[in-house]
Formats: sequence, structure tokens, C-alpha cells
Amino acid sequence: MSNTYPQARILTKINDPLHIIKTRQITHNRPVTIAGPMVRYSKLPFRQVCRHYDADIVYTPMILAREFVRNCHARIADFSSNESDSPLIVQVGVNNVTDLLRFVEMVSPYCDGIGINCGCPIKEQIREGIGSALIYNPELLSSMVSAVKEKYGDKVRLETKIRIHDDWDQTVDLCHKLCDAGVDWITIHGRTRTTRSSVPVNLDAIKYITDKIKAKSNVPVIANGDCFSMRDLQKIVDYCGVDGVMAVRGLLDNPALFSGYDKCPWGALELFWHYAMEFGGLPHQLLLHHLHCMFESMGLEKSLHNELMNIRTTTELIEWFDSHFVLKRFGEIGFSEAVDIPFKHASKV
Amino acid sequence: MLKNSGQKVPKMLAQELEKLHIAAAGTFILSEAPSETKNGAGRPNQAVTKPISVDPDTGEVIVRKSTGKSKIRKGQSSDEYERQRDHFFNVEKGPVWTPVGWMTKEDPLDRLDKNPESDIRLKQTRQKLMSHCHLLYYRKQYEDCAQICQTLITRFEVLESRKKIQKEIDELAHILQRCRAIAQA
Repeated sequence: MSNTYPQARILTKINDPLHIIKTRQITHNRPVTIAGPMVRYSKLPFRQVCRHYDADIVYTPMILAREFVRNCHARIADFSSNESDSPLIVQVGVNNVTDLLRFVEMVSPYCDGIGINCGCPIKEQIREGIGSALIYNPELLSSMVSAVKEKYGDKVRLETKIRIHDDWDQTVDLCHKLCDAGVDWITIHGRTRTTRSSVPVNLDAIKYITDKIKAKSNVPVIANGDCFSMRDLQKIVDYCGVDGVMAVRGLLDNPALFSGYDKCPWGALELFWHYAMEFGGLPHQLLLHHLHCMFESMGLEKSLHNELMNIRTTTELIEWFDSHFVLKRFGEIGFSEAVDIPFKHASKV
Repeated sequence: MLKNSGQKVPKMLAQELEKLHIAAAGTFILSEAPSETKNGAGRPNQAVTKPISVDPDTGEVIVRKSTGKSKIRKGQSSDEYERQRDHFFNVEKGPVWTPVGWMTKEDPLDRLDKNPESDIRLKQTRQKLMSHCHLLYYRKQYEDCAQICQTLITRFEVLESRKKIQKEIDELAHILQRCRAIAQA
């Protein structure tokens, strides 16, 4: 066996997520914009579309460390990337230090940072002590952060994405522990483990916790929850005093929201088609779901939407698009530039 | 995704855990965070699992099943990890790497035949080949697309678990028929 393996990717001003978070306001006159992790959906084609529309930092879906370090098929299924997939944070679901250190060793040469998922509310994960279970286990979470930072220092960026507790001071205590352990930045989702996504995000909680963190350290804080437009982003930053905003569900419907689009432009959909086909490997149901979400944002007529949802293969999907719309391919004049839906026939919006 | 199968805590280990004031499988519920009652009216069970580390060197932990009983998540020995790490870096060459244009740089059938790790019986391998057909069809390269579909249909049809992949064969046949129709038009 070889003893020389690839080392963590070198961080520069271009790809160091911490540098980007700290300098976006100065260099771009706006807070940092982050496309957060979505189970199943933050795959490479969608990540690239988000980057095209001004997402500064993009996350993979959560990858389970336990499976990744043990199983080649899990690795192939869970993680694909390429040269232009940067700055990239790989989000990890983990419940012990050993798996995390091994995961970081394997993944860090191919990404720009690792994010520990401490927010996933799915009960199967919580039973394993993964996801939002970790915010109730500050000792373990801090020890995982310490272990990575002690081994890698500034060579590997490490983030934690947490949910809030019912008692906000518990969250503050947790954040202080994470800061002491050396976490590079903290993302706060302004809901508790059991709050439904239909309940508005608690900006007061994020503000309270952020104020307390910033009183004691200079660790950047990112707010997450209910960012559906650039107006939302600015409102969240102004109200909470955070360093940036992570959008997740908002981007699924409208991956161009960080570019100032209030609804998904047709160009985003063309780009998504392009990347999905070029990279390959995206299951039909995932492709369909992305298109469904984007069309919802565009306000596509219900009958066409119903037709879309009944398409069973990717081939039929291509045919359906070509029969109803002008779907430009890469290299064609105007590719990825249209805003409104270019119907082949009379308008159906 | 593959999952490690859970298993009961061995008696010896259970006794050792008891010495540490940690109960064992079937006799205990794993430690839980204090219940949260501040605004918990009508909320479901707020218990949160804290996994118990059994062997920090291998990452072996005890977690809880949906029934409330515990199970061991087996650890990974250093040797096994080193084997996986070596395979990842030296055989897999890191994660799946897919820059724009990667698929059409090489004939997919050549790639299949040359790579000993490629096995057409695996769904992942067939999915890659299907992706190639989708790409050519999307790019409107109908002639190339028809050729590959024809070959793949022949190869897929002789596979043992044909019933399972009938849907894939049907889609390939559909693409082939469409490509030919467009070419004739």
C-alpha cells in the first residue's frame, strides 16, 4: 500500500471559504451567499447552476462518514465532483471522532471545507446520534471539532451547522464550546429540532445567539432559514448581524435567487439540463423533482405541470421539453440567457 | 446506501458497561438529553440519543434502535481503514470526477470492456451507459445515439436478471426507434 496519499486541498483567497466569508462584503459589497446542503438534491449539476448564479460557497448533501470510509459503492453513489466545483463544503453526518478523522483524510483533497451536520431532524439519524442529536451532545461535538482542528489546523476548514434549542442560552453555550474547540464558522438554522419548516424561522433567536458569540469571539456566523430572495437575505443580515446567509429550499425553487431573480429564470433550467446531461448519473426522479420545483417558481400552467409529473423516463422528458418549449443547448445563441418560459406555441403561463 | 447491520451487545461487554454505570442491550435505554418542556405542549417524544463509544480506536459505538433497544455499530479496524483508503486514492482515484465532456471523450463500450472494475450487471454501470445515451439524445446526435443503443440492447438482453432491467431495455428501444425515425425524416 502506498504511504503517500493526496493531502488536503491547498486553500487560497479564491477557494478558502473562511476568507470568502470574511471578505465578501468588502470585495463584492454584499454578504457572502451560501447554497446549503439538501438531502438528495445538492448534487453536482445543481451545485454548478447555483454557482453560475452567484452562490459563493456550495455544499454537498450530507454524506454519512461511517459508510463513506467503509464502502466503495457508498462513495461512488454519494460524492462526485470536478475542477469547477469549488469552493465546496462536503457536509458529513457523523457520531464519533474516529469516523470523522478518517472521513476528513479521504475527502479533504477534493473539497475546500467540511461541515458537520448538527441540524438534520430525521429521526433515523437522531437515533444514531447524528444530525440535530449533536446539539444535545456538546461534549462529543466539541471533541470532534477539536480533533480535526488539532490535526489539520488551518489546512482544513471546519464548519458546524446547528439548530437552535428551546432554551437559546443552551445554543449559546454550545457555540462558545465550538468556538473554543476551533470551529471556523457556525451556521445557525433558526428552528428547533421539532419546528416544522412551515413555521417561520426565528430570527430573534439567531440574533440573540449571534450577539453572544460575537461578544466573545470573531468566529463568523451564517444564518439559515427562509431566505427566498435577495430582499430576504439583506433583511436577515441587517436584523441578525450575521456575516452571511445560507439558502436551501429557496434555491431549490429558484437557483438564481442570489443573482437577484425573484423567480427562476428559464436560463437556469437550461443550464441545469446541460449539466445534468453532461455529468450524467442523475436518477430520473431527481431530475424531475428539480424541474418541478423550478417550474413551480415560474408559475407554469397546472395542466402542463401535471403532464410533467407523469413522465416516467429521462428520454420522454427531453422529448416533452422539446415539444413544448424552446430548450437551447450549450453553444446555441442565447443559451441560458432567457428569463421567461419560451413556449413553442401560445403562452401557457 | 449500504448499512452496517446492528447486533446485540455481547454479555461480557454488557457486564463491563454495567461496571461503568452504563446499562446494556435490552436492559436500558441509552442516555437521553433532558426532556424539553418549555414549549413542548403536544410535542412528540423529545428524547435524543447520545451514542456510547465502545472502542474509540475503531469508532465502534452503541446507538438506539426504533424499538428503544440498543445495537452496536461495528467499528473499523486500522487495517480495514487503510485498505479502504488505499482503494479510494489508488484504485478509485478519488471521488467520481465528471468534468463537462468527460462522457464523450472515450467510447463508452471501450471504457466498459477495458475497465476490469466495470460490470454491466451492476446498476451503477448500466446507469452510466444510459447517461451516455441520454446525453447523445439530448445533444441531438441521433446517429451515434442509435448505434450505442443498439449495442446496449443486445448486451442487456442476455443478462440473467433481465426482468429487473426490462425497463432500461424498453427505454433504449424507445430511444433507438426515435433516433431512426428522426434520421429517416
